[in-house]
Amino acid sequence: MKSPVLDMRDVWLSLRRMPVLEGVSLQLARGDFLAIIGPNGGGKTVLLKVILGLLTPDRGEVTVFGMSPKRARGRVAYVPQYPRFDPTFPIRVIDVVLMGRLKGGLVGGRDSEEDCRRAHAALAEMGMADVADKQIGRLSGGQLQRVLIARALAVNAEFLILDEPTASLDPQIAGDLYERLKSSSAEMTVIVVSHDIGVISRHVKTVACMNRRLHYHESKEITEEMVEATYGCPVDFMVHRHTHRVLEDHHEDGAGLERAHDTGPGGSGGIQAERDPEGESD
Amino acid sequence: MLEALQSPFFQRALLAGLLASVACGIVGTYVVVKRMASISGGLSHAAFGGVGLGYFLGINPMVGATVFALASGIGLGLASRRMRSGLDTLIAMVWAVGMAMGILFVSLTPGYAPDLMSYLFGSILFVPAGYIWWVVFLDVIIILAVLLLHKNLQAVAFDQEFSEVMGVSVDTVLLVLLGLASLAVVTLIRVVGVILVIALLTIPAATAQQWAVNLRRMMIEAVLIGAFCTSSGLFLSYGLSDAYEINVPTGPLIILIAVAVYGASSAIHAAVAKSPHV
Repeated sequence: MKSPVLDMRDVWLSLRRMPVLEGVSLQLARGDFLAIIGPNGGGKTVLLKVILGLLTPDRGEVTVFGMSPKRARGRVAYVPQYPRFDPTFPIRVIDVVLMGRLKGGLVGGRDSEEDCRRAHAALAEMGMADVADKQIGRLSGGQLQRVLIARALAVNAEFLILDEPTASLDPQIAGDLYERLKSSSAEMTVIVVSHDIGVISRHVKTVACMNRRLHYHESKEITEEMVEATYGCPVDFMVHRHTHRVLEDHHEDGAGLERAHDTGPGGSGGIQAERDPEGESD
Repeated sequence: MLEALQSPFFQRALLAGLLASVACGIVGTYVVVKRMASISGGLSHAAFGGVGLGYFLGINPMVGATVFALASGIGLGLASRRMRSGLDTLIAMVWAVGMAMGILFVSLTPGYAPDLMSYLFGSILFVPAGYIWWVVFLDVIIILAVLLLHKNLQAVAFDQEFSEVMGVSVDTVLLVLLGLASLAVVTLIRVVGVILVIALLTIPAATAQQWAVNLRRMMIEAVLIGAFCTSSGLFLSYGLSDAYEINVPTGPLIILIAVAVYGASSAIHAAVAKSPHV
């Protein structure tokens, strides 16, 4: 019997009177590795923030490790989508990673040797050991993203939540990251929001589509209905199902449906998507 | 110029400037990186209400200033939890209400308030001995709080959301930060006056930020820059009066020196950044 890590039941949330989550239910057990895809503005980040206890739903129940999300803090690690902080903030990279070792509460206490060891190990794991003493503003976007992932890894949490962690990473590094998460996902539960379905589908165990509603069948396959419901038209998104079938063209002209290259049967899963139809412009 | 150092007046003024620089360098660092400058301006003007109340009740105006600054800081902190927008307006109100109350209390106080101008514009040359002790006391509180809480203060200033996810009591840490800003504001009131406090709290820290790699270094540099500005302002105003019989208040000189230091630092920083050797 797997122990439940996340249990969301019929969660609704509106922000500024706009519905963002509509009846979202999601259960995850230890060892699950879920990717959430969906258009920008579809509520993916909001869903993650509800799980993290940063937003409180209007209706519905959320428990993490059987507790309210706020009480489960410290057992969940998070990689935010965009770094919101000021690049001129005087802080060294290693001190940012050490935030993953914060003790919580009001008085934080000091970093132990164990904290420093873990922080350096996490940085090294992301291939960033040589920038440990640099000021954070001196990093490139991709380096910064790897530092934020290292910060989350340093937490050594049982539940890891990543919001677009690979948006500015090379595919090679992104692949390595997902491989690492996959290999440690036996004792960890992972949710990753990504547009990078081509890379991610090789690593995750299940995929969900999110557009205010969450379409999830505890499998890796994305059905036509899920895509349709999630993205609507135009669909610039290819699904290989059991045969090498391409989605029917939609009625609008120039909907931008791309022809899929046959990749042969089997493949790595049900999905081969090139990019998000909405792009990154949102 | 050196004979100035023998005057107990001058010694006391120098000491007041240096002690206030400690508070303003440490707290100013957080104020600058957390972008709380306008809140600090509100707090210093709120403190003026307490100065007026002190006169009215016949107690030490510095005590009134401390209470008012702390109460406004905590009030603004609590209010900002409930409101996502409109904090700016609230700060403006606290700012103006503080001044209004100060003026009202002083006008209700019988007799003449001789020191009033020195609270508005500062008069470091005439600080009473009791003020020095009060600043020492506030410095000690600030240093102890920062030693104890720096890790979380830094985390919340840098990335509030992640700190929250890590279980840091973000709301309480922010209240502590506002409390520290209130205390730092009070230490500066007699040095440059409530109107100019915001400048001395932020300019040395902003100058330090151009060079510092971490907050600890930024604090040390900000304290040193603040100490330089207050002392050189003092020497300059003493020298002008001694040599040319030009009497200018010290507070504005200190601020202008601080701005000049900031300008020079920015220019050097820009030149260094352009240089290919770095």
